[in-house]
Amino acid sequence: MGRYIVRRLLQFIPTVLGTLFLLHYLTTVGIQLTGNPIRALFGDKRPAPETLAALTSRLHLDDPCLKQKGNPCLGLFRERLVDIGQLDFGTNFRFRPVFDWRGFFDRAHASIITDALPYTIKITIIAFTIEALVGVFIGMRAGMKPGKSLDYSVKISTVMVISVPVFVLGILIQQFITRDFGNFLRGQEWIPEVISRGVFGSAYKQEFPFASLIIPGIVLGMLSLATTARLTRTSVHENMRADYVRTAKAKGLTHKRVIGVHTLRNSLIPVATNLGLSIGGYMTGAIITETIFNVPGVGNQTARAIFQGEPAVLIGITTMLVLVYLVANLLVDLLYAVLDPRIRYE
Amino acid sequence: MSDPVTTATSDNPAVIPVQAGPGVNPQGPTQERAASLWSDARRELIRNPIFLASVSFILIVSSMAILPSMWTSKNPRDCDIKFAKLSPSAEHWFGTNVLGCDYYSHAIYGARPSLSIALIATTGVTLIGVVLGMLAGFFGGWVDTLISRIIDMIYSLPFLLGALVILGVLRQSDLLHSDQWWPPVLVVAIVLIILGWVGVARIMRGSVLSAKNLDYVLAAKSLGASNSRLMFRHILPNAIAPVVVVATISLGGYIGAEATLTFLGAGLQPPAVSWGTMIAGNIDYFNEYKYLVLIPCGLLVPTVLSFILAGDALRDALDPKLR
Amino acid sequence: MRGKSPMKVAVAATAIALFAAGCQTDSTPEAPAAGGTIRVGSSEAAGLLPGFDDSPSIVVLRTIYAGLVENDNNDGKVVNQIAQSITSDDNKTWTVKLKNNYKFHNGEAVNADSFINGWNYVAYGPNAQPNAPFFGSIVGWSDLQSEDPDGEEGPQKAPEPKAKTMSGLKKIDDFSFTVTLAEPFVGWPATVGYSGFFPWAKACLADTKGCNETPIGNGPYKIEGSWRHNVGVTVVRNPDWAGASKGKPDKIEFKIYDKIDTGYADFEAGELDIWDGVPPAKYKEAKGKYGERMFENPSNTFTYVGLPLYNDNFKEVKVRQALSLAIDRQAIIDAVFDGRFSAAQGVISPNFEGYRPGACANCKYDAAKAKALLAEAGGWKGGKIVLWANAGAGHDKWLQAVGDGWKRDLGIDYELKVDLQFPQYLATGDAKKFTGPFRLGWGPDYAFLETYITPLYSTTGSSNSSGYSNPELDKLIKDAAAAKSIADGIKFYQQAEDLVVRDIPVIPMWFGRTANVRSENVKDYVYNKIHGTVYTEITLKDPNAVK
Repeated sequence: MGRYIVRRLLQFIPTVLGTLFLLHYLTTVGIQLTGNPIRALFGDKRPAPETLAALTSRLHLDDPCLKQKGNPCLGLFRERLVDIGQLDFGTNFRFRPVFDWRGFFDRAHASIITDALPYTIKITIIAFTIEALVGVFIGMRAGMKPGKSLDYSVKISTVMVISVPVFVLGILIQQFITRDFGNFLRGQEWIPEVISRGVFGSAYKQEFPFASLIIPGIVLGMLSLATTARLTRTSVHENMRADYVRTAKAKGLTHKRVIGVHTLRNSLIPVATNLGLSIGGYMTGAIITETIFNVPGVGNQTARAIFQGEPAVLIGITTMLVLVYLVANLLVDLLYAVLDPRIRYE
Repeated sequence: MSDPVTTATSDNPAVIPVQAGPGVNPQGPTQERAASLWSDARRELIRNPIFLASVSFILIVSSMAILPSMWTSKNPRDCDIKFAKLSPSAEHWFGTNVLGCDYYSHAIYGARPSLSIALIATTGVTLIGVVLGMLAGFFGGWVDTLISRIIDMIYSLPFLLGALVILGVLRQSDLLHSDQWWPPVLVVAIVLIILGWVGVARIMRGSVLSAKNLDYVLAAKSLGASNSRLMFRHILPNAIAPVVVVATISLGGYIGAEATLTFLGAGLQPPAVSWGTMIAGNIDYFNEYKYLVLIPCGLLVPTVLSFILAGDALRDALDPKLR
Repeated sequence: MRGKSPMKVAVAATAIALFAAGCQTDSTPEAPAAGGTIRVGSSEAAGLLPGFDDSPSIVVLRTIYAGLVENDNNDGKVVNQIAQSITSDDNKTWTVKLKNNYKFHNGEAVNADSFINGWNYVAYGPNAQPNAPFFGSIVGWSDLQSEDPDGEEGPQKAPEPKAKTMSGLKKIDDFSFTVTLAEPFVGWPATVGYSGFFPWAKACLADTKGCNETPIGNGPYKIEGSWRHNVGVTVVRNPDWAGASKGKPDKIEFKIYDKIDTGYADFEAGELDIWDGVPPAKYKEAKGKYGERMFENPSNTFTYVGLPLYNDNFKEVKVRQALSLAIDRQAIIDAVFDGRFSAAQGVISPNFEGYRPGACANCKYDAAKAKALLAEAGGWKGGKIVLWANAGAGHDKWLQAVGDGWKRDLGIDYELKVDLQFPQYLATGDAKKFTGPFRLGWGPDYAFLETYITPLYSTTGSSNSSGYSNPELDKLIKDAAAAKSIADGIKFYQQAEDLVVRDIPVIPMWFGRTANVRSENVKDYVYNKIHGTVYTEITLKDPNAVK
């Protein structure tokens, strides 16, 4: 087991390097094709060439290879790796540091990622809890009675949710639930503010750091919820007819025990994988959800970085996401060994 | 999640036991011959009303995509700003949009790019995913390590982030400076392929891993069958079922992905007309002109739904255990 | 935020003490009326330093800083703020005398050094301050810039610039200094109202990074805590402020939104008192819904369609006039923007001194005249006209309408080229490679009409994207800059505007239209023609409505 973990951790290195290079190359080619992103900061006003040059050089975007289309800028990549090795992730175009671990403890060292991460962690926890609890519950109920009305309604409603693009879903919720229904609630004196302004607020609010993330969290968890519910349903359905469940029933075990211990435990193996992997997916969903609900988290920062063509921010955030994903993946695999006795890692 | 690929793939239970590692058979006992598996499935499917309804809807939408002139005589590029934002009427069945273009013709012509992207992406994803997944699973060793690491790399890049970054780069290519409708479609599809094949490859690799140790494969091997014969004649037919299912489901996902990318400013852009540009370009007007959003959504959602339900039905039919 | 931290109590205590002190020295104190908290929608700023700002920054900076001059809230005229006087005999060497009773929030006096050192810091190339070019007209600016040393071999370390201070800035005594310009400019005193010219405290120059997070200003308000990135900035009334108006609200909370739709949704949910800029698509609805509570006024942002005069097809004046005459601006504004723009009647903002309604005869829709002019010029020979705009900013819609109009009235077919991202688009323009009309915009840098003329149309103009060059116009600009008085100068600039609207190097399209909404709780809403909503002068019906 220990050797397996070490081996997996070692395999992280090429994966992380590869992803970093991929991103470095894409952002580099982007600059080579679109031109100096600093120019766009000045908009329709043409800046003095000296000022443009000074800013470009300050932000290390003055390497001549950035003017040669297709050049992978290996020198720049090496510099970047050395910097990242020293935990220096650079700054955005406004000279805010991308990442500084001291920012978690000390406001004086605040950085983009340390500022944004807490919001995303909170929203992810909400999304994850909703996905896991609600998804598994309705999936189980549907799977135990396949072909019944509950089963069908779960199927139809989950597929419906998948087929509506997230941004449409988010905007509809913002229009009808947080604005129209929310305004109705805000008109009622007896409803506490934490409900009317917090939970049903149109955007994230500093005064209600948790309540105002619930609806964005639900939107974020909604699509994975559909997946989890369907997965649980199929898994439970299959296991209900497995030999060992039949044996357990034949032995005269209570229905509760058969379901709770035998069926559920085995059915949850694929569900656990999916849940683990969906944490990575949250980061993607967060790009849209956080933008719509104005949550100042990682997704929001990612969207901003993409549109302003900020290579340092993109690379910083992605490095973090890749590490989160790989660790989550490793944990899922280890969890497997715990849940499924047939699997043993050498 | 807004990641249509992972959503769709992980939605398939057949995928999951495979990831548990070698030795777990995703399809249960597949001793039957592949041919009978498929013919059984066909019999099952033509009796399934949901499948039939889904397929009919897909056919209708496809006919819009292939022959839009059959559905409307108006040109979607004929616009007069004087007749902007008219509500649906006899003259304009779906009203007109902000620029005074006939919205019905937009809805019809919008089918082609949306469906093409999904179709090209699914084909590409399936081909690349099947081949690389097969190679990784069959040969193991360094081939497997290399392919698996690449899969990890792409998988760990959040789908939207990857798509937005790559599209940002590809948009500069000369392909997009064309009057034709297909080059931008191709660019978006290629991006979806680059990021999407890993899902299929994973499933394929898992299926192959479990299939290659089955008795009949071992038997063929001991009879001296060549590698390519083993791969394509014996393993592929048994391992392909989950891939086919995932492909159908993700086809729906890709239609939605095009809309999401457009919403974020990276997909197709006007004056190109697709359902995605129709939704994303008009979502701001939702409050006052609801039809501008409801009409394209009313086409997009059922289409995605049809593909997913059809894929679902296909899975049920292909899974012998569920009979 | 919960409860009272010891820190907050301490701040409150000092605030009271300081205010008491202020009462003794100031002869006409304003009653410390409870102004309550106003909540303002805003967006993430580029920086909170006078050298590093963008429009969201300026909104905040204008409450915590004060410049040499200010624009009057009633008529937009330039009035002295920190400056006692700004005078010159030749429009070239300006003597600035300061009032001596202004202080920074940390207690430092606002004196000549605060301006000279600050301006030198911003102008100094290696400090990479985007506002550096604003000081370009001062003698010695180029000595502060380093030459770009990057050759083909790779980036090299830039050599130190020749000087660290501009030779055109000279201190006379603690409260006066002179500024020498390379060229005379009558409007210079108006330019220093721009936030780039705000003074810098010594402590701020010593730690610019810290000062960006926790600004040390000299204005009527000061920051509470520090800048919460992507969340908000809160400013409270500065009891030490020596200016005439003490500011109405006790506290102004700027809440940061990433998308205007989200911010507007929050306004609709009652979370904001002021929302500046209703999303264009919701404008019509808001107009009906908020009525009186929506403030509308032409804004200063100018949108134009530049014509590439370096392209043979656009060399003929009559062709350019025909293109301009064949655009029905109002119809486009009504259809695409629900009327949210003011059709251009010239190239100078309606809010500026020197604006003349109807200055541009070629900006009125007249299809027949356009057709005749085009025929006189021998027709259009350029084939399909290519309309350029940057991608993803929604310009394609109205450009398409412009093209449709040309197609209808002049029979010129068109195509759109709207796929370039902003940096590449701008670079294409900088390199004069547009093959057809192109969209660009312009906002004023300071409250003087010259900002709409010289940069855009003079031969050496910094943002002259059309390649227009007219010796007559260059001479007028020179005469204007050397004029005896502002009023004289304005006359020259108006003549220059006449040349522009005759020659049409760019097709003036429209000026923006502010559509600012406010909550029911707002009593007095104050709007400054130059700067927009004056948050510091807003009063509430119920100051205790929030918290």
